[in-house]
Amino acid sequence: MVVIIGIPVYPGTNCDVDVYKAVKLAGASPKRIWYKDYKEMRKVDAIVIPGGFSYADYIRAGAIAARTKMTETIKELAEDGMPVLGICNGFQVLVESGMLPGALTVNKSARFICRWVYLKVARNDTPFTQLYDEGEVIRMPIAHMEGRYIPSRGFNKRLIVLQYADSCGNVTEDANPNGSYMNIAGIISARENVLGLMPHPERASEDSLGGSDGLRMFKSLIEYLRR
Amino acid sequence: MSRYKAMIYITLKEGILDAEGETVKKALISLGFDVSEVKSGKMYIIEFKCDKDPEEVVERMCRHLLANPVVNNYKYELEEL
Amino acid sequence: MREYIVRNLTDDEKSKIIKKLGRNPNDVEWAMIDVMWSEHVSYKSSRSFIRRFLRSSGRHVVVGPGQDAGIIRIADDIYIAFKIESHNHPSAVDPYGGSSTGIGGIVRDILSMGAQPIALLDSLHFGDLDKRRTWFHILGVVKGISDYGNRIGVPTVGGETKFSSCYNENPLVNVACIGIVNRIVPSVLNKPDSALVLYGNRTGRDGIHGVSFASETLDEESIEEDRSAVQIGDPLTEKLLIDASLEIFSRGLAYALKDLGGGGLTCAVSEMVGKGGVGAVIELDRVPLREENMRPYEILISESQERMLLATSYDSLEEVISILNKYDIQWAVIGRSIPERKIIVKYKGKKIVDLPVEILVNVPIQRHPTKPRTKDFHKDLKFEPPSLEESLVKVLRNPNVSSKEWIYEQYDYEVQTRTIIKPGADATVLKITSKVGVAATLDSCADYASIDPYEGAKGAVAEAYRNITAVGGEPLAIVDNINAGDPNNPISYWEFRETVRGLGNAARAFSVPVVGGNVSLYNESPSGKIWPTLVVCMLGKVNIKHIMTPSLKKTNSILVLVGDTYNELGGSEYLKILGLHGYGSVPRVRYKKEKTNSKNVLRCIRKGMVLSVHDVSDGGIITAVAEMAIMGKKGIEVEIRSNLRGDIFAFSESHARYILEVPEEHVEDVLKITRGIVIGRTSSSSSFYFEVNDFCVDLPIRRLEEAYAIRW
Repeated sequence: MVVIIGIPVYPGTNCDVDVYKAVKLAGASPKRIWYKDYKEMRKVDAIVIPGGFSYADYIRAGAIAARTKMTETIKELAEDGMPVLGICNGFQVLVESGMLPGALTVNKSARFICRWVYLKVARNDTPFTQLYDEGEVIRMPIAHMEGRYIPSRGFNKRLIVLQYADSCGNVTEDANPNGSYMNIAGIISARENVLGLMPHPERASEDSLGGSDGLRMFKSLIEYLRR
Repeated sequence: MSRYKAMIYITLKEGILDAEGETVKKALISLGFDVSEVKSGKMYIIEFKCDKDPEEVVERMCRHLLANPVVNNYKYELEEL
Repeated sequence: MREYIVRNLTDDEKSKIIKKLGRNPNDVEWAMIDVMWSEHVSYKSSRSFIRRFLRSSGRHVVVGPGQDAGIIRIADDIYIAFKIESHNHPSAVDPYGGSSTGIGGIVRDILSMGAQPIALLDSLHFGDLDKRRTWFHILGVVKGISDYGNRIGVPTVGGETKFSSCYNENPLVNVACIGIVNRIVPSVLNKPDSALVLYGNRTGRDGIHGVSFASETLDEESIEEDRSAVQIGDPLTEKLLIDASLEIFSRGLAYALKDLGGGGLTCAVSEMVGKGGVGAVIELDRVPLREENMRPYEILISESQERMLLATSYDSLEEVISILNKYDIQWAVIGRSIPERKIIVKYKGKKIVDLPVEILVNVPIQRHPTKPRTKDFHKDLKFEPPSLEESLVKVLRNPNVSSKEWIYEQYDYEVQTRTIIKPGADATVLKITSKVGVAATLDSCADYASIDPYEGAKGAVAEAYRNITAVGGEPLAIVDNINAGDPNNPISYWEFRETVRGLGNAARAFSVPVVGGNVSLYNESPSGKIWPTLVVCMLGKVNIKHIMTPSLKKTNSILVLVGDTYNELGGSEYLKILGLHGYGSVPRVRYKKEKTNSKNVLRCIRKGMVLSVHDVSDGGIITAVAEMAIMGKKGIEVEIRSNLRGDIFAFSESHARYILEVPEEHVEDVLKITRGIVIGRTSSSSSFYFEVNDFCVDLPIRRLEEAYAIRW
């Protein structure tokens, strides 16, 4: 079965081609869709919102992209159960549009950080992480200025899927690059079909480029869609 | 339709680390200023038209786009043009 | 900005122009001529040396100097474009705006060759770290590069950051960009009756007199006044510009393309038709404006950012417009090319400019006298060496040597998923296909040039050559940026000439053609002038299977030193920390050894006989070994006997040397191929033991790490 993954492209999005390459490598058929062609998004099996600087992060990162017809469409599809993965700026769009709770704001250091980090997989019972082991320590790069997760009232810790950790899997303050609450790197929605994460799995899809732990995220999603 | 001008100030809520503000504070101190606190924020100057309630319009601009209720406070000044 | 005041022309040049034209140019025409005859645009003070000393041909050179970027062929069907530019003067006055618009400009240059920008490298030179102004420069420049480069999705993957008091008032910001070309789009238009489309941001008053600003020295007043000469960048529009342009290229719709940079619309149009044998008519009213009441000359010389000029057929216009509309980019058809060799500008129904193309693009060379610096450096050097340990820690902590991670961490170096070798190594390697990669490095040796500009220039080329080799690359081509002082100062002009001569000499000797370059003069202010600084951007070709990094990989491997060490401490980091800069002999470039050693090291890499490679440069052998140990988190034990005094051997910066990490089983072969010597081994301890004659360092690696990994 051919799995079609829709990749929305907003003005300023710049990781769409990288996501396209990773999705292809993982065995699905990716489609980059310009934000004006939002109707095309209804024809896909799952959505991966890529990273970058949609609208140059004006107002707040992801704030303007979250209020486009493209994102409205994605939200409708998510409410109907379609799996949606938001990476970096994609995660910011998901929280700004209310598909995920909380907010993402400026890193503690107030600086942009580009760095490979260790992550602990807190849950492997989601469509995006089923090919990982619970508690597994993986490596992926982060590259963001506004990645500090702030929970909203009544935040359910069960939603935590990935946390910044050290190489042994200890979730420590030293291992937290941006000051996120509880070292949160990625969370899932209550309905468990929408995942947002700040690290870039598409940049960790090839060993020659630094590691391939990220590829399994796309493969998990594809396997989930094929079951 | 009347014309209005709003000056809108967006800041971070109490209790949320203002990383930019902290950084600016350190920089000012290193330049020799005796600074005790810095809060960072954004300001928008918006000229707009509306029929009835300009305050309500500005509130909606803030709630729907300019401020994120999870992390931001907002206040504004309004004048008729 | 009222009536136009000519800034870049001598009285002699003005009379030449009036004579050539046969009349007095009007106000608008003077403005256009003024920018085209500025140093920055015309290279009138540098062209003669460049043509005389630099060779640009080679079998893999597809496009040499003269267009917007150089293009080389690195494999069948793989063409790489690259270029380097400086934005020194704007960055001195507004570091954030200057550096970000520098990035914007160089990326558009690459784009205008029909190439997709895939990487940026920057060479930054700043002043003393105990000066507030220096930090004003550093923080602004780094943030500018970070904010702009990250937003447009082009990774900043490498470069260098150097410090010296000569840059206190005149920081240097040199940026290089690399692109992949699918179909070359010329910068030169040779077809009359093509539509000229201006697209991108609206035109305002930014940067008016920007090129004049870059052709003058800075003084107290300029710092405050010339803020108007600085441009503000808009990376969102630039990203859309890149996307739209790439789509225009892929559909074959471009006859020619120029980006608008120094000299604005005037320069773009003049250069586009300049070598093409045609002319142009511009309808100035059609240019989309951002400000009210702009005078015609302002529109013509504005340096507003993020604008491109496209020449296309009238038949293709509709398709081009639909692409620009898709990306919500402003556009206007502002004119057309004509068969006559003239530039005509119409405004409000009147013809306001009518100039022969020649007058704008054929700028006579300006000659200046040169005067060699009297050799005031002291070759003889006698001093009591402090403890080796103390010196090593000081050198590692020196900002020229210490880790720049705190800088490059602010750059997204992973976007586009091509970065195989991350920043912090000898050179970067970008993946182009599953087999082929491009290695790139930016290097300068201003410390040597401050003593001997000719040798220093050759040194920069040699260092780049070694850095490409160290990652497993075959050096292919160079673009260079020369930063020098005021050409009206005979000593500065002599330094400039010697720099070009050194660059040409080395490039020829290494068979690495110079396919493009940039010259930035007038880097002088009343308080001082910069050392003549040649920044070399060298590209090489790599086989992805055989790339090397400098971090030590295993314990119990053998460390081999390739190349000879001489007593050459002139310009070294060691003498600097001892306050003895200016003494000693500057390292000499020995071409035969440099080429042989590079060839042999590459051979070992390709045969899979080595685990890591590091070239030896700043700080000498002891620093190179320390860096390898710190990066690889491995202890080492080194014992060397030398005819030189121990500290001199350890810190001399002689060229043509490498340190190799070799597994036991390959040592014999490696020694045979490279004629190197075994100097020690990696160990499982966490200590750094380095002994040369009766000098010794025995410290935990952690101590060296602390000195090296200093964060600001």
